Amino acid sequence: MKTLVTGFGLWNPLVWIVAFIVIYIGIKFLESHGREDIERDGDIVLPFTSGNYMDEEALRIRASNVYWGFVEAMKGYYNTLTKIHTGIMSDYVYWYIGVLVVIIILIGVGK
Amino acid sequence: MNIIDHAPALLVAIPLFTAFLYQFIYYITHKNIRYLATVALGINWILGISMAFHVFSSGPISYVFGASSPGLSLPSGYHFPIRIIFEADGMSAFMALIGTTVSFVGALYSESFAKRYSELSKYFSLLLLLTAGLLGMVLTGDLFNFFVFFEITSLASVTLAAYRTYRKESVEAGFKYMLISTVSSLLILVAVGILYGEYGALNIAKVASMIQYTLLDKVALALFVTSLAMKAGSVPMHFWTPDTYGEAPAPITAMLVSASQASLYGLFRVVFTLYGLKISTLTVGWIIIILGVLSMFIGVTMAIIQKDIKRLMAYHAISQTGYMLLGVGVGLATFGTDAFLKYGFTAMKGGIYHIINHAFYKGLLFLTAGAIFYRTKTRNLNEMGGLAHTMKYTTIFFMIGAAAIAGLPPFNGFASKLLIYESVFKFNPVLSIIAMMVSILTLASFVKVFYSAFLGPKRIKDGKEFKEVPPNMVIAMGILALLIVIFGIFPGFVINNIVEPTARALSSPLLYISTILGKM
Repeated sequence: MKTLVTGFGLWNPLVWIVAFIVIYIGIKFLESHGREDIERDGDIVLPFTSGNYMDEEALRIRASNVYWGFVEAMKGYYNTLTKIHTGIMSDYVYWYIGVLVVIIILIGVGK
Repeated sequence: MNIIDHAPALLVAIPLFTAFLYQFIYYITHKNIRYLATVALGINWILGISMAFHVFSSGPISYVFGASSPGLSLPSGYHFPIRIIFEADGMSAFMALIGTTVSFVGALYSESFAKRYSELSKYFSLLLLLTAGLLGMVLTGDLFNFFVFFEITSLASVTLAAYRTYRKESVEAGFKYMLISTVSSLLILVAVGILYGEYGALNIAKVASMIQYTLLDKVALALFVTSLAMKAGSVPMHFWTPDTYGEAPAPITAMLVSASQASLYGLFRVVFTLYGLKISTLTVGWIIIILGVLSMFIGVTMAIIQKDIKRLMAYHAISQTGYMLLGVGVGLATFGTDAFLKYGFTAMKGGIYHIINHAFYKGLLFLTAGAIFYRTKTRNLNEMGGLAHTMKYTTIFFMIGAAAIAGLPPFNGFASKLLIYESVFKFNPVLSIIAMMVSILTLASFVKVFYSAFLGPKRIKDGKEFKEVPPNMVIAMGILALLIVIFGIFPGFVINNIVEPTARALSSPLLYISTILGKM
């Protein structure tokens, strides 16, 4: 009932859940043995901002910039892709007709 | 009289009747009874579940309109089905299960979400018409009837997508959806006309039993495949999807996902049942696989760069449709060979399992996007943040939906993707690797949404915090979240009792035909 047999292996979510609980208990155990005098909002965070005090809002990265590096690396791909997404309705129909022609040819010549 | 015998007709009749009842009551009383749609679709949900499990355990049922008995497809002396017939085999029942679930949740959510809209009675009537249309599409056993329900679904969807007429973007989205719906339905009608001209029949089982795979049949097949793939949102005919999904009200978007899946059902029904006895499985299978891979990859990469939460999710809907096309496409490409038994059938099961999983988690994600919009009045991720402080339920539901779509265990998306990865790897390792890579990118994309919308300092607008959404909306999201968890934790049960009977039904055209025409 809980086990998924794929034909190549199997997967039981209960094992995952049990593992998850065990790991959680382990983390909580380690945490309970840590120092209690750390001020999470105090000077300890400053090394991450080169010693400058910054409010939390200023530290946030905007959604548009979250994967800046990835998008920059794939610039060529994205330039092509965004050009295709014109938003013009006649283009939508051109694509449809183009695909239809290709599929007619493929099915027509297929056995 | 057993009510299940009448279930295929009732599933369409209940929302259709309630849609008109809604207008009638409003005309008489000038009051909007918002819960009427929820009650009607709740009854439909129960009926959908009952019918599905009856079909999964006892085999297909048919409903003949106007016959002395609902199962009498061939009156004495006839060798030809002459009436409109609904046929609920495993695949139809499976799709009806999805349609009834999502429409009930959509109506429940709309009770609060749509409260501020004008002409509320029309909103709910259209929602009910949309439900009737999509259930009709998956239950009918008649080609022309399929076209009619396709039109009903499209018209209701277009009107609902453009419902907020005060937004020019909504009107544009509705217009775009109307254009592609009209083009695709027109060409589906041409395809139906070709088959009717050749075989003189409209009943799917009857046409399937006679089909010869002539050049004209091939043209009709190409028209079916292209039109239905476009309505399912497959790349490179997906351009309408972000426009329409992005602008439609959130509960309607969740239902539009199911409407697109009804088109996907149409595609699978055509290739496996209507043409199943004669089709070139390898050619058409590969066409579906290529559409699937393109959808997966282009959908997810376009999603990553979006900043509008609903457009981002719409691109993910395209990407997830790719998984379904890939799984079922591999099933078709290997159909009738030894490979089908070795891994093709497992790929099909993965694709089919993914259909129901996608309906639930994508529905949930669109509802969470709606909840965010309901409170913040923006869909721009750059303007959000800190919602986890005050919208705790929405946050938890989003996390469940996001984990499921990214294929993280133990949620339902993982189980169906695992089946697809392993079986498709046997067919072609490159396809499987692409599918896994797409999952990683999906996770990355939803991490961005989670970070942007829910993390960070608490935001205050006009001196007020963003409160949690009303209980109706929370319950609606909760139902889908619960289903995601159940479908993830009990994959063996879902596979054995729901997915496998569905895959067997889809891959057995003779069973579908013989239900109407008797043993061949």
